[in-house]
Amino acid sequence: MKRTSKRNASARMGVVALLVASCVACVGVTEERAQRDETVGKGGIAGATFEVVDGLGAWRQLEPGAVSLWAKAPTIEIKVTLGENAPAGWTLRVTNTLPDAVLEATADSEAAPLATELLSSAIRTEKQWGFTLPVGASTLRVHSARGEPAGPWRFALLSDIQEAIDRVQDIYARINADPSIAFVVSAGDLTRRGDVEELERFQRELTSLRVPFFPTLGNHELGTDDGAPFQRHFGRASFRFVYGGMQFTFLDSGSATIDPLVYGWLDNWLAEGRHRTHAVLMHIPPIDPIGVRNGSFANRNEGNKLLAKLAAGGVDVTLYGHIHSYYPFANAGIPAYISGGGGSIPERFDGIGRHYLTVDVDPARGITQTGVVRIDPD
Amino acid sequence: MRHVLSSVAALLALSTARFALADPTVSDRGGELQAAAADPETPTPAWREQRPAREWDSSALGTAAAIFPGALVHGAGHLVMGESRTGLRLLALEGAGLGLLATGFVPIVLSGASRRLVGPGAALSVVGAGLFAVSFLADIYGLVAPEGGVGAPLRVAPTLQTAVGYRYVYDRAFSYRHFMVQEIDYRTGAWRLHPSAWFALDDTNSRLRGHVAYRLTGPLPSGNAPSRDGSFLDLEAALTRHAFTGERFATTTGEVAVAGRLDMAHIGPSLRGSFAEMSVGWALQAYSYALRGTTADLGELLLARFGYGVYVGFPGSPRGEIALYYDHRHDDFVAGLKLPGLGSGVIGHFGAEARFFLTSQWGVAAEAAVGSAYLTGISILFRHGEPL
Repeated sequence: MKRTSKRNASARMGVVALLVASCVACVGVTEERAQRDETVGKGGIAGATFEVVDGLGAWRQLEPGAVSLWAKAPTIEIKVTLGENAPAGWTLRVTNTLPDAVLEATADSEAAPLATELLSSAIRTEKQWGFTLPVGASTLRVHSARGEPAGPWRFALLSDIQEAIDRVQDIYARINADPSIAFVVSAGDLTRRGDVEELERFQRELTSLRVPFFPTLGNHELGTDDGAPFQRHFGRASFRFVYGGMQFTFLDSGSATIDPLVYGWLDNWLAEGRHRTHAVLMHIPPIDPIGVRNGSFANRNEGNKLLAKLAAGGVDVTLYGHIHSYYPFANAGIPAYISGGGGSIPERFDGIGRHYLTVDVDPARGITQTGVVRIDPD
Repeated sequence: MRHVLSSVAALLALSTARFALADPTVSDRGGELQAAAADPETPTPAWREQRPAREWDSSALGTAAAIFPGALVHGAGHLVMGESRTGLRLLALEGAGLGLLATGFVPIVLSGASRRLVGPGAALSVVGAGLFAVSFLADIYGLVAPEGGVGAPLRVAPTLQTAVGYRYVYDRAFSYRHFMVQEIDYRTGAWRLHPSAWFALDDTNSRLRGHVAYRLTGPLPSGNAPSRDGSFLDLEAALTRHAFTGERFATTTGEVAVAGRLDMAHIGPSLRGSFAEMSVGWALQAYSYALRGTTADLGELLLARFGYGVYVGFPGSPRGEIALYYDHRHDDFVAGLKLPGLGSGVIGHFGAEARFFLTSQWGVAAEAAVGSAYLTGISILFRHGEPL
């Protein structure tokens, strides 16, 4: 009878150790997603190139003479370059824009604005225009006909809808009933797994909302191809825009971290927003106020690093999702709100239930008030 | 949290209570075991029975069974080998683990991670996952390890142990990479004082930690009776100051924990030479920012860790130990795991650590871990105090 030799035992233990060692994670899980952000809003067809400035839009259709775009901001600017062989007549459809949006088209070669024609659209947040562009560089600017507000205005924050998509219409009805809301921002988790079918369903549901909806992604959008369908459908995960004297900076924290590339963008965005009222939104908060839960960054030190950066940048408010409740608190001295009230598995025993947050802004005074609109109590 | 600590303490105390019933003359490498077997008048405790001899083919079959279906039915390897007592104990351990996991995790899911339930729920989940992992690894160890294992525990702890070493940390969120690490481990009676310091060599980052522990049971320094084996139960407290000067913040963490080790020979003779570890605790953190207009924030942290290891070497030869572990900490250099897809943030990190003394005084320690960062490094150890 042959006994198990120590040599054989060591070999087998070595194999087991190698198997265990192979089960290591990747610390760079956000890298490709951040790089994809840089490609959003760039496209070309039939001798024409289109670039949405700052990536604030995702091209849905690029065909000779007809392009359509999902807007990521109340005001967007598109740089167009037409070659000699490109068609001159174009239609531009912009989805998810302000109900009073207008198109202003200018060509580098002509002093006067180009003529545009508003075409019909059945959806309040979708506009379509026809126009003719000359060869060379032109700029298309989509913005509110009334201009940005000089007086008090309001926006809403709605996040973490996921499997509650069947019930989202009553939330939209409440938002529609408040005429002071200019648009809705979202800290993500619109879907359960972020697949194309869910994203299309989400967009169909949005057609009843009378104002545009500007989201970053949540961790649930990463359930399919690392969030690539979200980026193709709804554009960048990290971006920023300015409206009504206020800067909105959205950061992709869906992987419980911020990619180093995004930190680089953030430094510039913080510098831009230094003298504005500045809101920073992301899905997973840097620090969960209930620390033992750790619904926050994977590395608490990174969370503190980000908060120190935001505090140094003079950020006025931080808005988060991920946790399905409502938490008003402060981080690094910055007022903070977690509002994950879209309906996905609500946190029990908190007395909150489905809700959305409203934020009142006075361009002269900054944020003046926040409110919680409850849809159905827990 | 108090209830969680009490539960874990009770669990560990139950397991260590078995030591008190055991024959106090357990020696290394089965010496006493052989003596007991030679004396027909002396009944051998079941858990100290010698492992039956195995043939290579059947041993390979058992190892395969420990992986499949052993990944689902822990102890399957031992059951296939006919070592049903150990196999059934491992299966029971898996059942207990799954039970605790379900008890902790189901309320978290159903309550939407309610702030009122998530602390104890998460602690129970980690402990349950620990028992699950330990029972799986033990089944494999019991099949691949030679009889008596590849080493024996120290039954007397060194009075003084110092370490100086180097650590490489790759964290995409921070620019530091290289650290010098210094530690002192001093024991007097049941008390252990363990200050340590990490200084970045290429950054201003520094971490100073004061750690104190009281040993309820287990190996003590020379001057005390040798322990029966390497099992122990400690109460721990620590205060840590971690300065991120370049990033303009610092964290101060106070923590308490209960930590234990169980020599797995208590579960079955084939597991001799291996051990399982578990600890659970709670920390309160203050985050301060070196920025005008900021205020310090307070936060809590769940501490939980489990591991499985083997002793290496027997008395009279170079010896040490190697362990794999999971640590739920999210505030250290490695912190929590980042995963592709939607699962990042909650899980802590995994690692391996090893200590090996080449002489009675000089040794080396090495570690590697992966979470938000990769960490690896080595230390030179010096100890004093007649460890056995």
